[in-house]
This record gives sequence, C-alpha cells and structure tokens, in this order.
Amino acid sequence: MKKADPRVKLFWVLLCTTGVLVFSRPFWVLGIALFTLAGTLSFGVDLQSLLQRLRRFLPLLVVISLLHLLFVQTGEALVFIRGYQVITSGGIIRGVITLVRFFVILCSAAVMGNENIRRVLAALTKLRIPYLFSFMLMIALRFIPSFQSSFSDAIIALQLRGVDLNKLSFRRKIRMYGDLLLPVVADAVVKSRQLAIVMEARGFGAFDKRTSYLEVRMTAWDWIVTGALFTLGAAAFGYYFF
Amino acid sequence: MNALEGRQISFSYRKGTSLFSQVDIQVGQGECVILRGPSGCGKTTLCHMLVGIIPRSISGEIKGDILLFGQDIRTLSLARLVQKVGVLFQNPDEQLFFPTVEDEIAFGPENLCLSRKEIGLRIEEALETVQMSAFRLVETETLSYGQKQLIALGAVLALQPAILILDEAFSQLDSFSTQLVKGIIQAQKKMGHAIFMVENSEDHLDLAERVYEMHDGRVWEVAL
Repeated sequence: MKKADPRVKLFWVLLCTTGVLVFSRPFWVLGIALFTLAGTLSFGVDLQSLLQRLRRFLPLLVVISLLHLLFVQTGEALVFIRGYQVITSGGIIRGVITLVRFFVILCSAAVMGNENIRRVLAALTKLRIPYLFSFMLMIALRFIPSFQSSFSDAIIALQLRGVDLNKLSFRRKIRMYGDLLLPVVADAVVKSRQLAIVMEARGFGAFDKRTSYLEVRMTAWDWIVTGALFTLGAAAFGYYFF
Repeated sequence: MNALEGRQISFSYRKGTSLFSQVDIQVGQGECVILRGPSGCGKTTLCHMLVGIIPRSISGEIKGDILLFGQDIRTLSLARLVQKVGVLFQNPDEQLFFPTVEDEIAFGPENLCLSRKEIGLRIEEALETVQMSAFRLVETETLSYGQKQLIALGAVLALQPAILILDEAFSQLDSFSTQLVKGIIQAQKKMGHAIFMVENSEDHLDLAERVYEMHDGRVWEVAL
C-alpha cells in the first residue's frame, strides 16, 4: 500500500474527509477515525511522526474542542455552576467529534505529505486537473514549512538580541508575535515573487499543456483497492442516509 | 549578427526615477561579456530585462529595444524565449523547488512539451555537463550550496539556450564548483553560445572577451 498510486490515496482522503464531515453520529465518526488511522499506517506513514504531528496541533485542537464543549448547550445537562448549565452531553459529543474531525484531516495531510509531490502532480494531470491549479497547490504546500522556518528564524533573531521569551508576559508575547508576522509575511511574498520569476524563466506557462517525465500508472492492486474503497464508501453513505 | 543586443535601453520602476538610461550592450555568438558595478546599480534588473522577466513578471517603464539574434524580445513567445536565453541567479535556494534533482532538471523540458524520451536525454546530458549524474535521484534539500547551484545551472542547460545569463552565479561557490562552472562556460563558448555574466570578482575576467561597467545609471565598455 505504501507505493499505491497517488490517485488511490487521493480517493481515500476524499472518502475519509467527506465521511467525517458529513456523518454526525458519534460511533460513525469514531469508526471513520479508526478507518483513517488504519489507512494512514497502511499508506506508509510512520506512527511516531504522525504522533509528533498530532502533538504539535494538540493545544489548538484542545482549545477548539473546549469551545464546542462550553458553547454547545444541547442534550442532557451534566455540570451546573450557580444554577447555570455549563457542560451538556451534546457539548461533549460535539467536542469529541470536532477533535476526531481534525484528527482525520491531519492524518489525510500526513498521507499526502508523505507522497512525492511530483507523483501527485502527475496523478492530478491524469485526472485532467489543469496543471496551473496543481502547481498552485504544490507551491502552497511548499510554503508552509518555509513560512514556519522564517517565523522560527525571526524568533531566534529576537532571542539573540537578548529577548527572553520565557520572561515575557502572555500579553507581550502575543504582541511580539503580531509584530513578527508582518516581516515574515513580507519575506514570504518576496520569496513567492522570486519563485514565480524562476519558474517563468524555465518556461512555466509557455503552453496550455505540459508533458511529464514521471509517469504514474494504476496497477491491478490499485484498481482493486479503489474498487473496495468505492464499494465501502457507497455502502456506508447508503446505510447512513437511507 | 549579435546573439544579444540592447539598444538605448532605459528602465525605471516608477515614473521619473530612472534606474539606468540609454544603455547599449552587445554580446556576440561564442562570446562572453562581463558586467560589473556596485550593488543596487541595476545589474540584476538589466538581466531581468534581457530575459524578458521585465516586463512579463515585473512591471516598470521601459524604453529601447532588446534583440535576441536580431529578433525583438517583445515579439517572442515564452516558449521561444526560454530556448534562446537561460538565466542562472545568485541564490540556488530560490531556484530549486522540487524534491529531487531529476524532477528539477525535468521541469523546463516538460514545460516545453518535449517527449519523455527527449526529456530523459536532456536530463542525462545536463547532469553530465555539471558532473552531477550520481545525484540524479538525490533530494535537493540534502545538497550543499555549491551542488545546488550546479543543479540550478543544469536545469537551465536542459532548455539548451543559445544565450546564458549568469547573475553573480559564482558569488558563493567553492573553488571546485567555480572551476567546473568556468569549464562549462568555456565549453558553451566553443559551441557558439553567448554568455552574459554579472560578476564583480576579478578572478573570472579570464573568461571574458569584453567587460562593461555599470554606475550611476550608465553603462560603458572598459578595456581588459
């Protein structure tokens, strides 16, 4: 499964993300989460790197889930403070579902991030998706780590000038991050402009179509997996809605 | 006929603030011409004009004519332009954007809609020229700065341009890579290709047939 055609992986991603966003019954959502986890590991994503990725997003996910927990006031009231219901069963369910949804999205991102971007581009071309769109996607994905590294460089530069982040109050920290955002965004704009120049200097956009040196071909196994996924997806959606 | 010719070219990013004006330059076939000048004088901007990046991607006010083998650059399509003139910039990190060396070299020929067989040949040839054949399937991120610049040069050579523009391409190369690039330039000259280099180091003057100096918005030829 590790070397599966990118189209199979894209179909799997589509199936999992659509399912987790459309289904709202807790056990179905948990089922999709397990199915996603199994797929993620089968497609060759290392469990440790997946956990590391999840850990990075954990604070954000917890905050979002807590917001759902506190602001969704449906179902049975479970916790009261001074007569006001604070936590409800509906809130807990919604919080957990939100957490699982993000988990599925992150797993999908891990699978596609693990794939050679050129194979993905070739697969998208075979799916008749305009190459300009595919490249925009590739460049956008490429800029995420670049943006992260620019931001951490800026923070290191500040620390080298004597700013001790640990001693800053939360308010000042937020203000500092705000101040750093503008130069980092400006840097990203400069880089993207330079990238556009280099791409054009190598003939990008010269024709409406382009050829691909790298070829992707669906093997018999890829077709079997796609067929199985399609059948499973159709059965699940059919059972859920009808 | 000159391979590259600039006639009375002037440029300003904004109206009324001219970066350079009435610049005349010529680069003959099989000739290497060096342009020198202080930082910020407009050397890179001139390179951008000579390869059509200005006005295609960067806007500004342009006067004069740029001719590639006698043809006005404005009349050339992008596909024909990149086969006539290739450019190598200073920073290889800004020129490589694919995961592997092979992908990087293949990008240009793919844009020209060449066949798979032809692209394969061009990759082989370009990598042999820059002596990086052993790195074909290596991830570009793992390469040294000099190796990255060689790959960037290979990616330009895969388009087989008749004119090569090098914008301070030597500035951060080690001695081995410098000698290699110099050898490639000599070989390109023997093939009748024209080379236009922006270079401030005295070490590379041996490559040049002629040298231009750029200062205060003016360009003039200096004696070697």
